[in-house]
Amino acid sequence: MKTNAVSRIAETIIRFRIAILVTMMLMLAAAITGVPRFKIAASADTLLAKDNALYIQSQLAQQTFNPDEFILVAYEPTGHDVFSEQTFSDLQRLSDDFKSIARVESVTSIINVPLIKDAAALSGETQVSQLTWQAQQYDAETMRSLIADHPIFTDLLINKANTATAIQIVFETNEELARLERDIIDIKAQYIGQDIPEEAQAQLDALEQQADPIRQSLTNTRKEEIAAINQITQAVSERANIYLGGPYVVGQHLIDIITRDLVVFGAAIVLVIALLLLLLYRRLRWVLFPITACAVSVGITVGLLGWLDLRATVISANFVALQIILTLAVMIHMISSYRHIAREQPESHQHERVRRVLQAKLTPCFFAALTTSVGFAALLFSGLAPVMSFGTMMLLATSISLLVSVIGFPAGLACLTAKTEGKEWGLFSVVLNRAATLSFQRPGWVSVIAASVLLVLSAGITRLNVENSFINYFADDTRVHQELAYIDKEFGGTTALDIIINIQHPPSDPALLLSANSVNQLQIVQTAVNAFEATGSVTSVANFTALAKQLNNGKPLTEYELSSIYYLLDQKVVNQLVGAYFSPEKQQLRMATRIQDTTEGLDREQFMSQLRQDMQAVSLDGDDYQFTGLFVLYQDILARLFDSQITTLGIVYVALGVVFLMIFRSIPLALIALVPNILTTLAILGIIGWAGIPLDIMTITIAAIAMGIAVDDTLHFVHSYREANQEGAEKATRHAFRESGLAILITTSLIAIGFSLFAWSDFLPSVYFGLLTALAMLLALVADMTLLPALLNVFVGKQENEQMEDVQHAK
Amino acid sequence: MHYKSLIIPLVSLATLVASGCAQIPDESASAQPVSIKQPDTPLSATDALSNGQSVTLTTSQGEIRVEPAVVSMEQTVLNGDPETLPAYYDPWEGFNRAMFSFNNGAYKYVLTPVSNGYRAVVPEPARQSVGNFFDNLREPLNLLNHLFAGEVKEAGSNLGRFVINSTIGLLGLFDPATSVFEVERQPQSIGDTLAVWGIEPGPYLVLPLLGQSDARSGVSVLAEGFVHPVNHVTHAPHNYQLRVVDGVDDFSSQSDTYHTLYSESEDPYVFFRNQYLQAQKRDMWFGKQADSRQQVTPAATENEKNTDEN
Repeated sequence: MKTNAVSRIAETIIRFRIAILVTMMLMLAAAITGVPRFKIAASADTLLAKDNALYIQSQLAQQTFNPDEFILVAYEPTGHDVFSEQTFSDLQRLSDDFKSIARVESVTSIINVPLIKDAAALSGETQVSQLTWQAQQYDAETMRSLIADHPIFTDLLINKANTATAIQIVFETNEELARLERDIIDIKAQYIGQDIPEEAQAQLDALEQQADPIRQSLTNTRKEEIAAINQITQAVSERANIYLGGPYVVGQHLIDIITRDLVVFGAAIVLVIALLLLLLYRRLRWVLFPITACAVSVGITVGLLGWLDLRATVISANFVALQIILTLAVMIHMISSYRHIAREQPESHQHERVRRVLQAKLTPCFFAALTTSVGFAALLFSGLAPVMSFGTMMLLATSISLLVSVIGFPAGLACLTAKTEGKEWGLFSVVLNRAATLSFQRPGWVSVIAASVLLVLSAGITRLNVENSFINYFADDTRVHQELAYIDKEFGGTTALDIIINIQHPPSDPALLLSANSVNQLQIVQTAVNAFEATGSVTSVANFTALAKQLNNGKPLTEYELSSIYYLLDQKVVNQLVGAYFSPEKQQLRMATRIQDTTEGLDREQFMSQLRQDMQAVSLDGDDYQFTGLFVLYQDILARLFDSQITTLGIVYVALGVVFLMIFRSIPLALIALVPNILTTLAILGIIGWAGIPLDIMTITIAAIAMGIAVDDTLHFVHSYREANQEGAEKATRHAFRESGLAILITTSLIAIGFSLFAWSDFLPSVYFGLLTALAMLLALVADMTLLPALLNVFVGKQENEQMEDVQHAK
Repeated sequence: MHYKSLIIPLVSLATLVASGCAQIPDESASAQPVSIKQPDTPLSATDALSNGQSVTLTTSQGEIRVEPAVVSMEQTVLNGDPETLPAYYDPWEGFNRAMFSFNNGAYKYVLTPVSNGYRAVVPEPARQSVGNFFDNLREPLNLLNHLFAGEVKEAGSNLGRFVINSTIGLLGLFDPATSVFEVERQPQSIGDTLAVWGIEPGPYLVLPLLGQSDARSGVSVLAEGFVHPVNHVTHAPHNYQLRVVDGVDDFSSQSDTYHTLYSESEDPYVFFRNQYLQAQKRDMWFGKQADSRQQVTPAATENEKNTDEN
């Protein structure tokens, strides 16, 4: 940017300061009306990429087998036996109350499932649906003999140890939504692996628009239902521990805890930063301006996102934190500059000070915002919906922050009167001077040591692994963790993994339902799947045949007997037992598995590859089966997030290099400016690797965040260095440290301290996010205060002799 | 009594009257092995399971033993070479089919309506007593059969039950032997005794009215008809269909069963026949297996190798 252009902008800002402030307020007011429309979508599938083949296959499988939406309520008696009249009457009472919840379709527990004593019951002459505790009033011992080790109900309605029982609350599907989703998936399934033509896309959009309000209201309903269930279970809380489980319960806990964290820690961080600002500057205006700038920026952005209907996911919700960091950084650079000018010329007019601040900082702030934007724009090429939406939000956020802090702030500042400014804390200048001297006198050593440290940290990247355990998101000692872990351990796991097997051996007689070979193939797969420690409940048609075998004194059924039973049993019972596991139309078998999240040392990636290998070992080829369900989708998106992080980081580096080249118009400068950025991002990933923190959907964006921070620091520093480079490397170094170093140090301290507060969160992703962001800031600080000036001094800085020549030339 | 082939194996009364597919006691199986064979060439893992063998698999989690879930016994044959004999050996198919369609007509037009009428007229407790009475009359025959089979303990039960039920049980109308003294029923037919002696079931045979059976059971029924004619004449009509099924005396719901299955298959004859033959082979195999499991396991290991090659 040319100096005269900058002056003109500065003049304009000062002259129209009132108009600018009014416009900003109006923008804020307009945007704020959109805030209520802003939504954080924390449900599990907002994180999934919805246009890939895997997701569509999962949805198709879902439609074929139509498993129910349910919540599990575990009942663990504290003073009486599970098989006792007290339990049965409690279950009866709870079931009756649950049924009164509007959307509840059925309530299943050990008191109302058919309990078959002998095989005669399967031959059609008995009303199987009448063989329940409710109808027969079996005594406690009979119930124990009928239910303990039941091939179907163990892990679902009774735990293996027979110490707790569960009630399964099944909810009605919303027919309208189901129809819309079916239509959406049908269209998507048509175009798997190709671009969707425009009219189909329009159709999709229309369908989505219809589906959306229904989904929204369902989310609210679910929240109320969970509250109602908790209310109902209060009645038995004196004699039993109650635990709630199921995918929607996890989702609800996530939303609750994220919202609470946002409020509690958001407020705490603002408070701490405000206190620190007060301590640093001892002026009320330097507390109010930065905080107001952050609030206005975030307010406008959130409102705008609300109006644009861009929804934050668990990933992109981080944009608030990042925007605060970026806004604060710009503000502190401007304030530092202002205070420096005020100290140099205590007599100057306020407008003169603002003008000089703008002249010094407008260009680097603009370029810093530009480079940061380029970095986030690169995320748009990741091809993953949640990451792309994060990129878009950050682009918007960066631009808004720039407008507010570079135009709004000086306009506001120009309205105030000039005051004398105190000195900065001595500690800062001591540290900065030390660093400046070191990087000037020993540039070689400093760059080698700093680069080596960062490289050693980066080596941890090889130890990175992706893991995704919902339960471990919550700290061990929280009620949520205990509740989810109990269900996970005692009632067959948490995350769904379905195996859909295409039937390989059609029966020889068309009257047969399934051939013995098909069922045995399934039996083999099921045995192999069950052998994994991490698989909790595994259910399929094989559980039914196991029950039949048990009733038949250990002898397996013949294929004809199996078909006969299928024809003879009443339709409702058949549906209950095999409906969700066998599709005669599609000739597919489904094995529903839940993975136990609490399994010690579970390596999910290895689990998946071993599972694939075992499928091969039991002679199922890749085409013969399909893995679907949340577990697979998450593994898939994590793997792709990880890959895309690596590739987008590559794109970001190249794009940054190009932008640096355009700004600095010097290849060596552009390359030098890149180094601290690359090393900071790699080092933070490396630290995650060394620390053994699993990368998951929440922590995986940290590299992008580190980059956003490092770029900001680098740009300011290089800019100030160049300003004084004509006067020699030493002057340039001192100037850069004074002009930018101070602001960078202050910003880093503020934010690092502020974000460390997250360490007190009960939500581990928040803890990691806070600590890693603080760490990323510190790394960027170290890289930009040691490596960068050292490199600049070695390669770019004017040496004494050159300087002399320059001086002579000038003469 | 086509549906019987379904119910019998399920109820798994080890000793079934007139069924012929009763489990063969282990001791006698080792003394006089019944000829039930599988091909010499190793079967694939799924085929091995479908023929009642357990297999051992090697997966990432180590060696796992898999038990059969459902069997077809298609590669298992009675009395011959598995490589050449058909899975469903039915040399008398012409006669059997004719008898099958006769029976079907009889069930549809005579037995079902009659039993419905009987049910309508005689209340449930009375029907129970009628059943008990005739069961009691059968006890001496059960006793003899058990004695001939060398099963002294069961024979003792038969004697005890006959004494108790004929006296305290008011000529057998009630069954205090089961309900009060806990002496369980131990029915045994001539066919069961023949099986113990190592007589093979022989070809599939559809009997008039009594339905599917085999040659050995056919002989049994015929002989019992002579020895114990009253059973066949008066135990009617529902017990014709059901006398072996414990606690069930409701023919009309049984006949629903029969009619449902009949209507589900394109060729009901094949459906009922195969169901009978599969169950027969399964029961024989699992009776035999208890004795010869050692021979089955190595074969299964070979199978598993075979599967790996596949």
